Amino acid sequence: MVITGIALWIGWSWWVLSDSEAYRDIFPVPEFGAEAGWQAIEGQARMTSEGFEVFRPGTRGRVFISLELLQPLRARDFRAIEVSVSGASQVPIYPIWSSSDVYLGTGAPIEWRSVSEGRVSMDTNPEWRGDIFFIGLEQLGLDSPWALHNIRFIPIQLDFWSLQRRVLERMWVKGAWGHGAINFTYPAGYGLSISPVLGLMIWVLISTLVFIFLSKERSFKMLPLLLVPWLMVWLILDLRWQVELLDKARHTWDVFGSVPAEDRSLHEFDGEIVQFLREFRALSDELTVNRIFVVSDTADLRMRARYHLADLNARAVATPVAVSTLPDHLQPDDVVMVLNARKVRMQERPSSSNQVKATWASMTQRGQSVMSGPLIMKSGELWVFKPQQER
Amino acid sequence: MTFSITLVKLALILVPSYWLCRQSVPLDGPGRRVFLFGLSGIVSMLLLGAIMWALLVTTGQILPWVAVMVLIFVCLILGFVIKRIRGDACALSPEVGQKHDAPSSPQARLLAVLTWVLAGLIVLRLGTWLPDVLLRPVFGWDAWIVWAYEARLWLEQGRFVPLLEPDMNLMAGRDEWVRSNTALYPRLLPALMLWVASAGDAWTGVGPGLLWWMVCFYSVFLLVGTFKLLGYAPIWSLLLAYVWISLPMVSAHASLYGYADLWVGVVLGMFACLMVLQERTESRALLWLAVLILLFLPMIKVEGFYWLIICLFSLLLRFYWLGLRKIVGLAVLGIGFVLMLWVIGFDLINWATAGRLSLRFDDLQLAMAGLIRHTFYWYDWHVLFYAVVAAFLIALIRPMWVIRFRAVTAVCLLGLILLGLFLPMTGAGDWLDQGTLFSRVSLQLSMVLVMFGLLIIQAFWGEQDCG
Repeated sequence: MVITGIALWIGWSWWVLSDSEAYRDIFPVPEFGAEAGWQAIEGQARMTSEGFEVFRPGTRGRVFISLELLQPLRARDFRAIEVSVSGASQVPIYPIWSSSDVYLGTGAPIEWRSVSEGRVSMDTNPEWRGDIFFIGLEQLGLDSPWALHNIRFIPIQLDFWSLQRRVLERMWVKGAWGHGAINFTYPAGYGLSISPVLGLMIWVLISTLVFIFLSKERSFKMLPLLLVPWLMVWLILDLRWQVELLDKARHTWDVFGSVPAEDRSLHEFDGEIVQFLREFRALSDELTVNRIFVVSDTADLRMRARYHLADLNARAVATPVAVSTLPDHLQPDDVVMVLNARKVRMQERPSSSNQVKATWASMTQRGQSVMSGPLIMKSGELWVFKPQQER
Repeated sequence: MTFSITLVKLALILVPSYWLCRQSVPLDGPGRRVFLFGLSGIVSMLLLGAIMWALLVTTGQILPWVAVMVLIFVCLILGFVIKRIRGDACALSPEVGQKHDAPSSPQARLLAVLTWVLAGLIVLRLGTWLPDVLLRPVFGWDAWIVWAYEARLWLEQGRFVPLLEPDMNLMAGRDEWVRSNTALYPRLLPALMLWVASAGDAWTGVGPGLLWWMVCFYSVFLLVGTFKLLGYAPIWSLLLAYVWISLPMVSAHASLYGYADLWVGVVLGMFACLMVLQERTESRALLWLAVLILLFLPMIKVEGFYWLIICLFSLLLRFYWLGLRKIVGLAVLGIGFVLMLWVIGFDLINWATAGRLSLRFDDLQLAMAGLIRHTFYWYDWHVLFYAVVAAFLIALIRPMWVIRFRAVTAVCLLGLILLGLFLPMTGAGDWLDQGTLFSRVSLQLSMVLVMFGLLIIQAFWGEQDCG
């Protein structure tokens, strides 16, 4: 079993290191297209058919677009960044990033290898370290619009031992529970697309076949011995899971351990919304509130609001339903809570300091629905107002 | 404080429940107390939930202490009735398959060490869940929208509040609450969560997790006790409990409490334990107890009703066993029959699920890919499904090995057909692809699957010693 395991491992490592396609399959190259959620921090940009088009610089002539990475990337795993654009100008474009170690790092200018493809090396840049949370592109002076197609992180070349280290590192998933965990557990950490479960079972199968082939007696009497690889594999997988569980337990202890029970909802995932709802609850004591409709694009947000305001009879309404029918069902003193609903355009009326106008952006058969009324409270894209219906 | 009060109350309801189970289980032998402790612990919580639910609906009020009193009364009445009608206790003879090495032999010492290692791993796993169970507020999605929502609503309103249909969402008045899901879920678990939360002043979202931890804690005793009663060595009893409790999905559902699937799985597991013991003893009392336990299934979750049907089928097969190969053949014919009906325009699945699911093949490929990811690729089950496939292959080669646990075999077989064939062929295939369904339904069957695998190994040992 041990010999089979070592042989399989060496064979697999050799295959991964010698076949670049296999390597990319196992360690996917992170690639972020134009629609990944880029934002213009300075200057103006928009989504077009060409990509994320930068068309106007900021007041100081600077252009800065940035992307928040949903899962941070470790700088030391990547040696270069490749950028694909159309209409790139002569003015240099620089990569810029924010990491756990460096607040704002800047790279050398992108070297254009063709009209649309550029690359910049990172392996010698001292600021390229830590976990990268934001990546961006900066240009000082925009002479003509250009559109970003995508940006790719090119991984470092691994040798045998660094491959082993990389695989082992990525087996250990750290951090808090995610909401998906109730339904499934991913095979490994971010950026490793192999299944240890499948790999270990291949090991069990080959070990078993080798054992049967070498054994003199081939009958069910071999069953007890054949159980050994299964139990070993189970224990290996469970050891990994136990380490992950301990890390999750530690995280939970750190987050909630010293917080009174009634305030724990303010921490972790619910924090922002619970804080907002608490402030609303404090205000609602002074208001006459009939029913509360929580409108949001994401079921997650509106259902959480419904749960936390159960006593106030909050109802969750999906944005399309709200857009098409909610205005027709409103009663006096109803309150509408708009939480990150993109199809609802909220505007504060400058003429009346306490008034807000909500335009249900989607067109119904009768055209746009518009509601306005006193704003009760607002925090970022979280709005509460008391509508008085207008047509 | 909430936890202390809850623990005291849980201990209080354990006593009458233990007495009831002791009257109901006419078994004697090693492991009896361990088995009864596990069984009565789970039964006490389920009975309490059912009583709390009944009190809520009938009186409209939250009466946690009355529920405890009613539970004690119910246990006493049932216990006395059962004591009068049940037969004499029978001792299970130790399995012929157990090899007992001399205590001083190296093998025995190794086994003793391994037994302690397994016990340590079980304790470690239960301990690792505690921070999440005791500190984390309700976290899971279904907990917000279904189970904990109702418990919170009742507690905050101080009364039972019926929920209107979802289509009343925009129309219902100020004092009318609306549920978010079309299916009307049973209220045993919300009632149980309410029972825990009612020990505190207000709903904090913290506390009900203890119930999920306790049900796993009791399950360990139930599984260990079952194998001990069957006469298997301690290492096998602990291995059974360890294998189940080490499954990642069990950890996820215990730590991120609030879903009903774990409870359905534990009830199915109780049924399996009772039926294995029943098949060894032919005890009528155990049979009745197993059937009564099944009544909890539809009281926990809507899907529990389908498991109830499967368990009733398995009871039929337990008494009219046709042989595993024939049953597999009949199952294949049954699937063919359902498909044939569909071809001629009658969707049996749609009829049987009252319109919730219907046969649909457009997503079959994606659904099967999702199913394979869950079972053989992701971490959800360690290598449980590989082992189950291997165990069924062995059982098909040696059908006589399953003759002593026919009901468990039948539940596994029918459950796997449901999971692996019918679900992907329905609208649920979408959820398999997205990963939001399969492992939760599998969790409901997991304890029975683990037991089946371990029983197959034990059957091998039995044959070795007989032969």
